[in-house]
Amino acid sequence: MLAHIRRLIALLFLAIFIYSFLAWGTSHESALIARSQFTPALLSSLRGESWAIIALASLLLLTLLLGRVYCSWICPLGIMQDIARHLRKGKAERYSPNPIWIRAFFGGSCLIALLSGSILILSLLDPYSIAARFCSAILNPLAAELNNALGRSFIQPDWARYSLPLLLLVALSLLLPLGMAIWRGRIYCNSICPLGALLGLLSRFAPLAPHLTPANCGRCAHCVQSCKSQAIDLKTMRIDKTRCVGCYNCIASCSNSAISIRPHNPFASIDPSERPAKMGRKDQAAKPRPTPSADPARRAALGLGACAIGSLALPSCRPASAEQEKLSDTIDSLSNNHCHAVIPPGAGSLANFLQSCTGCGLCITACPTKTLKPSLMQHGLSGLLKPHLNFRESFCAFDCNQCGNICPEGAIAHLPLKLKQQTQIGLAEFHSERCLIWADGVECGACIEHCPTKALYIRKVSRPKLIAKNCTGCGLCAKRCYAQAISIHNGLPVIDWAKCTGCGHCIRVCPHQALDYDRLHAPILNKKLCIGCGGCEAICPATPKRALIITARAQHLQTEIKKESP
Amino acid sequence: MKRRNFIQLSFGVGAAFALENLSEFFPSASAAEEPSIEPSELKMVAVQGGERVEMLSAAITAMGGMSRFVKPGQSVVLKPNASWDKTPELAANTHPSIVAHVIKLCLDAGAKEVVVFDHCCDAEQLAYASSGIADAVKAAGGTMLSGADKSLYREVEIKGARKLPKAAIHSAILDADVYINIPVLKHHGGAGMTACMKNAMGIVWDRLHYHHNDLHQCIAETQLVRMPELNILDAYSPMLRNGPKGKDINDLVEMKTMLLSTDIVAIDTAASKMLGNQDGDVRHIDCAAALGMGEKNLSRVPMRRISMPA
Repeated sequence: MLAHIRRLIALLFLAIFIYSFLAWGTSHESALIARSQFTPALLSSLRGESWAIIALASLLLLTLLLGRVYCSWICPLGIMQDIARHLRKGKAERYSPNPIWIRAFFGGSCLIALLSGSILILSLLDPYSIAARFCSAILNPLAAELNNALGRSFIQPDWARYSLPLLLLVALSLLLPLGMAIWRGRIYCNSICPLGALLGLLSRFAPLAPHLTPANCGRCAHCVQSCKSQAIDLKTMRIDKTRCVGCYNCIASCSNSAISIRPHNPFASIDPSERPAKMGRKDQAAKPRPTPSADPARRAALGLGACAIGSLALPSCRPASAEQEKLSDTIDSLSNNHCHAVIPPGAGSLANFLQSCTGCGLCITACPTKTLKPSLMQHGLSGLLKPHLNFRESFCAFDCNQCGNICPEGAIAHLPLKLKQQTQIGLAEFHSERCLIWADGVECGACIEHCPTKALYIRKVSRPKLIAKNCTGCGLCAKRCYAQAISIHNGLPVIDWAKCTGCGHCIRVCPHQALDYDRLHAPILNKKLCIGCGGCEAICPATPKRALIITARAQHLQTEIKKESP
Repeated sequence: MKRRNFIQLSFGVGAAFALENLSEFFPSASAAEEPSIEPSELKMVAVQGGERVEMLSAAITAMGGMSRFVKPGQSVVLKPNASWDKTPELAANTHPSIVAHVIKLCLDAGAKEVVVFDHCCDAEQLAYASSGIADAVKAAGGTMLSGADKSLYREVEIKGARKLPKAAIHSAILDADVYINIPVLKHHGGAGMTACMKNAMGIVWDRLHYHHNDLHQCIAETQLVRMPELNILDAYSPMLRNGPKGKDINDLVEMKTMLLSTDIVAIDTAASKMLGNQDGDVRHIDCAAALGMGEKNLSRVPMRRISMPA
């Protein structure tokens, strides 16, 4: 009965979880399941979010009392593993000893890396993030294809959102736990998953976890065969609560009601006299079990030591330290920030962002303009799979703060729309030499159309224009130019637009009427108004390089607002 | 002169021009005093005052009813401006009530189906929703098509075009029996003004080509693909600056005007005057006139002016 309820609830959780990644009408509420996952709740709690502290406290309390039920009831990857396990032919499990040192190694590595400021290992091993990325990279476009096949209103399936290496990484990091589940049940949860290691510590003395009453046990071993965690040892008549994931399959399989979740004293040791009198054919089973050759505690210590050494070899996992970035930037100046990509509004600063995002991809699927893309190396190794803004084809919508609304980890803070519209996440760099208007004199103005704050505006500019057929190459214009903006190349004057002031003196002095006024509607950028949304970069038709490029801010700033009379 | 003062002044001047042109459009004379023209001969109707839907009804009636354009059993495509992620009151898109009413008129005239689409500048999902047009179309019984689905576009050759010899055009435009263009009147940073001709840039897939290759000529040549049977210009509260996206409600001026025309050059010429532009300021009008697509001289356009009772 309990096992059936568990399956139903787990599937329901999984369905809502997947739905929140399908990105039509993704809302604050639909991220509820993502928010109630352990890792997001933990990370958000570190940022002092009250809902996250409540969620985390309830999860911890649940674990302390009931054991690791999170792993079977709530964790999306756990449920996916249970589904995958059905692919195995013979489903019977058997007891296996506790792989505690592997768990200590992975859990310890995560902890040490976290303490030293890197979230990389956690983000790669965390079950929530693995499942989330699978939904974001694969299920999301798949759902769009399905939607289109059903003839509903068209949704562009975005298979290219995750580039091929990332797609492989996402697929592999999902196939690893699923493959392990087919092989040996919840072995991923009990050896690699860092959350499993933590929850295992907490659930060790859970008074309401499944408990074996030796007096009732008929030693049929049905429970052993049904235990996905391979945690039931009939020799010692104990269930290893650090590995039991609370699926309650054993309770369902037991015909003698020897296993129950009735309250019991978790500290009591098993009294040998309580053991059933009949021990099957052989009596020697009653002998005390030979002490294991290796002490688990020592193994755990060894594992921890190994991971401490291992973590020393991971200095590159730390985010680019904040010292490297000049934080004294004003809104209209920009130091050389080309080393990383733009981070979403609400992320605040790059260092903070890289330390609190596990790259689950929820914001990436929620971004209505598909500007948020997962990073390969755009933020360096520490930014693997985390979002950055890519302005190649799209740009950050002005009236949207969806990524901040939905981020379950608090890495992208929720900014009120007004504030978001004044947050400078990057700054446009205007290369007038590439601009079609400045360079070729054509009418374009695409960037001005898209600029939401009107940081880009049109100014009517007069400048000299060469009428080559009249020019004799006498060089008088070059000699007379006040700004030394004209040089003669191959017998023709060439004007350096960076220097030209448009005074028109050259036009007046030219004896052959070879220069005339050229009137342009040229874009001008007011950097104090630019929020770095990328509208101009996304639309700029200049090739091969665009005339407007957004440079990233490592620390977001507040812009001014253009004041206009009503 | 401070820049702010200059901007204030220039908008003041612009508004003054606009008002002057309006008064030229709407002399105190009532419709009865105008020389009577057969509705079927009318090429342009200008309405002022009142609410959008009643203005539209009055204008269509003056033109001879929707049955002049839509015959029973025909399919109709509407091309509103639904390009921007902005709410209706910011007038960056055609007002949804107008789109809905045109659909109703078409269906009443016996149209088989009415499809609506735009190739949005902002993300389509956002623009369709914020503009209110997707909901309005659904409620009115029309079909909203995607403009972001490349598979819906077909490459066509454009005869007589210099700068735009071929373009990928939305199949809805190519396949429908009747094409009705329903733009909103706005200032436009790049093209000077956006009205009927500029709105047709939303029927092509590759717009960036225009920006490389003589924007105005390309806009004019787009009309060679297919001229709308009817243009309905929403000039209720035109955007006078910061177009085409607009910044806030201060960019708008309430003019309570609507123009209907079968002649895309004439209607854009009138629209350009309303924004205070001088002749030649919006070059694609001249390009289109040179291609022989319509009449630039408004005095030669059979026109009727309607002032709605207050």
